[in-house]
Formats: sequence, C-alpha cells, structure tokens
Amino acid sequence: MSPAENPPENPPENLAESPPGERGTRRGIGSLVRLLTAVELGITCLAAAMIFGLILFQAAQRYLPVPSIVWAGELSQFALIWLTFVAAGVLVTRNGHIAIELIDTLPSPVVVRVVQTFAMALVALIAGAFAWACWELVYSAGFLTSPALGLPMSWVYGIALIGLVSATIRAAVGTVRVARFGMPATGDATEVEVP
Amino acid sequence: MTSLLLVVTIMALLTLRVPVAFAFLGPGLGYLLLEGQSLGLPMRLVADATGNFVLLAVPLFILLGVVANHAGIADRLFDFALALFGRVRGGLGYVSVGVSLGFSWMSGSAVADAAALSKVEIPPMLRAGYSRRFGLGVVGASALIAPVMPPSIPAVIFAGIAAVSTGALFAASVVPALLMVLGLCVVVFLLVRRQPDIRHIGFSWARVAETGKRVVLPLGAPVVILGGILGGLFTPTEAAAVGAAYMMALGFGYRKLKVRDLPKIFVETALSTASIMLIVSSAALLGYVLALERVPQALSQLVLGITDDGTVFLLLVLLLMLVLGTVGDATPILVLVVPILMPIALALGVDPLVLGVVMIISLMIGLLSPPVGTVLFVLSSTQRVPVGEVFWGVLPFIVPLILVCLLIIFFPGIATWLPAQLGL
Repeated sequence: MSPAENPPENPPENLAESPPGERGTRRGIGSLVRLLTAVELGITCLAAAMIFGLILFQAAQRYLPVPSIVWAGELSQFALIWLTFVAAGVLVTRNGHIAIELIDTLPSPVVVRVVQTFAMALVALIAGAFAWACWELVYSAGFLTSPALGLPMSWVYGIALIGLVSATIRAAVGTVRVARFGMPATGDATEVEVP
Repeated sequence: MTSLLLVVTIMALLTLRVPVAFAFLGPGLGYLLLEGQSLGLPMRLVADATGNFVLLAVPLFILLGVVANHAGIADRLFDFALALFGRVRGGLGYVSVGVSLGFSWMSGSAVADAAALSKVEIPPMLRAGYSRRFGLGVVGASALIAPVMPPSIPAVIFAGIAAVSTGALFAASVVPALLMVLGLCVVVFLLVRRQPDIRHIGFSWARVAETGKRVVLPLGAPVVILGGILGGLFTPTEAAAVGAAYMMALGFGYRKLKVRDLPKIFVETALSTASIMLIVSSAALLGYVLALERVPQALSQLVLGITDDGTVFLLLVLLLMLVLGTVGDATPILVLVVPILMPIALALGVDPLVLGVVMIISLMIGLLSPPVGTVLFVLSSTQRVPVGEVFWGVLPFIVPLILVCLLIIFFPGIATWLPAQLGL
C-alpha cells in the first residue's frame, strides 16, 4: 500500500571483487532471471492486449457486418486468469503486492528486516503450496475442454502454474535477499529487474 | 472456533506484512486440506473467481486511466480549468477540484489521479503563494473523486461481488460524486479566505477558447463510456474497451503516444490489474471457507439483533468502513465484507446501490488517513514532504466527504434518483 519507510540498501555490485568463476555464475544467473522476467512480462502484456482487442471486437461485432466470434469472451476470461497469475511472480520481486506495511514504521530496522524476511518466507511457502494445488488441477482437469473454444483446461491452468512456480522461486530468493539487503522499494512496474 | 482461528491467523499474517492475497490464500488452502477436500479445489475456486466476465472491466478501466495519463490529458484539463477559474480568489484550489472531476471520468483510481495531478497542480499553487499544506490537501482530497465518479474500479468490484448492475451503480455514484465536488469547493472557499497573499491569474476569453478547444475531444471519453452503457449500446466491460480505444486514438492524434509505447502501457496495466485481481480471487476462496463455516449467517444474526433499522445499519457500516479503511486497502475489504453485508442490507430493506456508494466513499476516505493511507504516501513521495504534513493538509477536506456519506444515508434518494430516472 505504501512505499517502504526504510529505504532499501542496494545489493552490492561487487562482481569485480568476486573470483572469475563466481562472477561468471552470477552473470549467468542474472541473464537467466532477466530472460524469465522478460518472458513473464511478455505473457502479461500479451494477455492485457488480448483482453483489450477481444472485448473491443466483441463490442464492434454487434454493429459491424463481421462474423461473430463466440469464443471472444471466453478467451478474454482466460487471458485475465493468465495475466493475474503470471504477474504474481514479478510482483513478488518488485514488492508490488498489496500489503499492510504497518510493520515498516517500527523504529528498529533489525525487527523490521526480520519480520519482512519471515513474511517473504511465508509467501514462498504459500505460493509453493498453490503451485502444487495448480499442478494437481492441471493433471486432474486434463480431460476437460472449454465450452466455446475447446481449449484443454490443463492449458488454462498450466499457464497459471508458470506464475505460481515463478512466485515460489522469486519469494524463496527474495527471502535471502530481504534478509541480507532489506525489502526492495516498490519499483516502476515496467522495469525489468534482476531479483 | 475454527472460524475464529481462521480470522486470527489472517489478521496475524496481515500484521506480519504478508501480502493480502497470500494472507487469504494460505489459511484458505490449509482449511480445505484439513477438511479433506481435493487439492485442486482451492485452485479452481481462485481461477474461476478471476475469470469473471464482469471483472474484465477492471483491466480495461485501468488501461483507460494509464492511456489518459500517457496522452497528457491532465495537462490539457489543467490549462482549461486555469483559464476558467484562475481569476477567482483561490482559483487554483477550484482548478484542482475541477481537473480531478474532469479526470475522474477517465480514471477510476485515486492513486493514479493523485500521482498524475499532484505534479501538474502543486508547483503552480506554490508559485502563486498558496501554502504547501493547502495544495497537498486539495489535491489529495480531490483525487478521491476518481474512484467514486464512473468509471470507478471499486464500483466494478462491488457490482461483481454483490451481483448488482454495474451501470446502475455507476449512475448511482454520479450525484454523490458531484456533492463531493461541492463540499470540497466549500472547504477551498473557507480556507483561501485565510491566505491573503495568494496571486490571481488574469482572465481572457481568448485563452478560455484556446484551451477549451484542447479539451473538447478528451471530454468526449465520458460521453462514449457512460453514453454507451446508459444508452444500452455496450456492456460496462465493452464500454471500458471502447473508451480505452478512443483515448488511444486521441493519444496517437496528439502525438503523445507512439506504437512503441503500447507494450509498456499494457504491462503497466497488467501489473496493476494483477495486484487487484489476485486479492479478489483469493478472497473468493476465503469467502467459500467462511460460507462453509456459516460466518455470514452468524454475523447477519448478530447485526439484526443489534438493529432492525436500515439507517442505523448504514451508519454502522460507515463507521466500520472508516475504521477498516484506515488500516486496509479498499479491494480486500470490499471482497470480504460485501458478501457478509449484502444479505443483511437486503433483510433490512436497504437498497444495494446505497450500500455500495456509502461503502465506496467511506473506504476511499481511508486513502487519506494514516497509518496506511496510500494517497498520503503518493503525495509525500511526489512532493518530497513528510507524510504528516500531507495528512494535516487533507484533514479539513475529510469533513465534507463524511458529510456526503451521512447525506446519502439519511437521504438515499441522492444515490437512487438517477438510476431510477434512467430506468436502471
């Protein structure tokens, strides 16, 4: 809800001081995470654009001599599910989830950091449990298809699973990061950041 | 006992800074697993709640606001309002309220409104001799017009949960939003009398005409959106998409928007949407659990034991929302509380539209109150001033907003008149 009161410390960029092997590993992980974030943001961007385009078309098809597409509403509803869950991971890294940040106003930075670390660990645990629940649903709903489009429901839940797995991994990494460097500031929503 | 444990766990998680969505998801999942339900059920409930057709309006109205911001509409509205009211004593105060009113037809978010308009409005106020506290106060309080005046994102969420017509709730919000504008203008009038040093800006018809031309097309957006909904041309969800397309066309026409900006706009929209929708969907899971525990029925009996008067009930709702709004965000409160309050309201003969408008305005007041008033933090961040100073600035402006809520409670016709006139 509110920007963190305690300005976060930036993780030290001490690549130059690291041994060459460790430097390479960190660069490699950084590139991989940047790529994953770009993929996740790409999916959310596509989903938002799809909702816009499909609903606009649905409004227009009533007044224009164009063939009606019965699955436009259904696909836009799926796009909203994909957008919501795939963005969940990115929001963990960017401190973008809505939270009650009363704890951030405590005078002791150590207590604040301990609580923030614990909260991030709980997010990892809950996201992990939901990823497991989503996997169960992907597995059990495999024989179902959507009414209009005929899309296998395992695809619908499978894309949501990507976001939940990402949220789990990001929150687990975030737990270590918050413990070491504090909570990141709420960032520009579109900036691609290495967690 | 189980429901009490559930509530205590959620409160503990929220206090420990666990994001609201995860604080709802964790205990909800745990409860269903302990009850021996299948593991896939909680995920299916959450996914089904997300893919609700009515709630598709949320990303589209967010998109509309984001595009309006990128298209520089706030600057155009400000120039026009300044040309109109600059000469009036305290004119920049009225300009601020007027610009927020104009922008509210294109944006449903107070936070977006405060972030966009504070940068445009406060520096000229300071240059003209207004106190910083006054500027922060009027801009912060005026930002609350956006989530009340249609298109309103909280109204879409309320309508989706309460199963009332979004168009009717939009129409019910118009008169209360205009009363908010009037109340804020009265406070501006009273406060500027204490500031003798403020400078006025000259008036010229030529300037009014010149700036007026620049806002004609942007002010067509509410005509497209509300005209489309109320005229039965589009559903609210479709109207949001058409409005966003209209605003995009203006942005391209004004050369403020380029095709390469679109991915950034869609990502910004998606991330804002996801943070809201994840809460809405997680609250659906929690709502399912609370229903299994028969919590709504128990609370309903409790409230009906206290009062059987609709007005007293609405006063209690106002008080509850003002308190909850100070510590929580409007979305989770709406999604949790509406399913509980709606049956009580119906039992007491309270119009759901009146309940919706009172809840939305009173929850929005929470955006101006510490400890977690988001608008306070946005203004503190954009203007680089302490949160306390922003709060002292907005404090006098909270009074008329509460008065508007009381007026609606005692005279529900304020909210129900327009929908009735429009046959909604």
